[in-house]
Amino acid sequence: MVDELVDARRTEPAYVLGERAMLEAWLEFHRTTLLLKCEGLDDAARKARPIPTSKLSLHGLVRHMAEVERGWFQRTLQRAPETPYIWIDRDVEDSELVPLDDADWEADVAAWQQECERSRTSAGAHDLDDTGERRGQEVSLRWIYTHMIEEYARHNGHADLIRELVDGAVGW
Amino acid sequence: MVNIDRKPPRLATDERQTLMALWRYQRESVVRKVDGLDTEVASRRLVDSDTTLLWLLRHLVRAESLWILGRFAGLHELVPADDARDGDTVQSAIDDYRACWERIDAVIAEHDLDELAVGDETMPPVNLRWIVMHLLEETARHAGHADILREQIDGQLGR
Repeated sequence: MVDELVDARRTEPAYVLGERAMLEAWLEFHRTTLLLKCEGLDDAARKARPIPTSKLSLHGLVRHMAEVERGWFQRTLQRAPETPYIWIDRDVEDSELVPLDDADWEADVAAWQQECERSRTSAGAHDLDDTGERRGQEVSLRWIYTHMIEEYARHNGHADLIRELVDGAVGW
Repeated sequence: MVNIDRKPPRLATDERQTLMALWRYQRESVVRKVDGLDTEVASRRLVDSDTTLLWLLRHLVRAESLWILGRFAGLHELVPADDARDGDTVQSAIDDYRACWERIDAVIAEHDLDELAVGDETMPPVNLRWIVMHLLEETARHAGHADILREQIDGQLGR
């Protein structure tokens, strides 16, 4: 049996909310979950890739999610496809994940948190039915919120097992 | 390295269709992670917490049934345990998971997302919207576990 992570910075969404408040609360829950999954480790452990065939590390997941935030809330929702990438080199696959040898945790976490704040600002200027464009397809802010919840949740599932393989710590 | 990645459906539609489409995508993705494996391989313990691919299927059937049939609708007798069963195979677990989706989706389709659960008087009020979003994120999180377990088994990648 795996127990819940308990931390004052994270609260489970209230049981009775309207659509928008519920979407925002679940997204914030998963943003904070990823942060908690990375805490209590040193730099080497956060950069460790415990599955030999995989490029995934906790530090890499934080960079990846910062890029995902920017992709959906800036490039797509704000219709600003020219927004630059933070770490990604379009010519190199998974370039936000590896290499991390010179990556600075404090700076990267700050960049991620700043990107989340930019996302909140962008979303705050739109209704759920407003749309953005990604590669010719229209998606609503409602879809972006819902997708971000499942995207974070899926990567937090990765973070769960990476963390367990790194130091044995578990908790949802 | 085999990569089976499929992008989630991209939509501009109402709340219910958006939630159900992305949840279905995650459910199908869990099935893709287990499909085609031998039962013995899918039962392998690869992490100390004893999460296995086969158990994940059973656990998700229980989670969906507990929340929707039990706590929301009060049909507690229809909620199964999530323990492995004698004679369990990958195919029987996938079949049970898919059959579960039909039961669960039929109940959800009959209710407004603002409706409150009536199945558990000991719980504070919870609306169907919370339950569906929780099941979406729980399925996605377990799909993430399945990604790692599958990669450990044969290196397969993708959602």
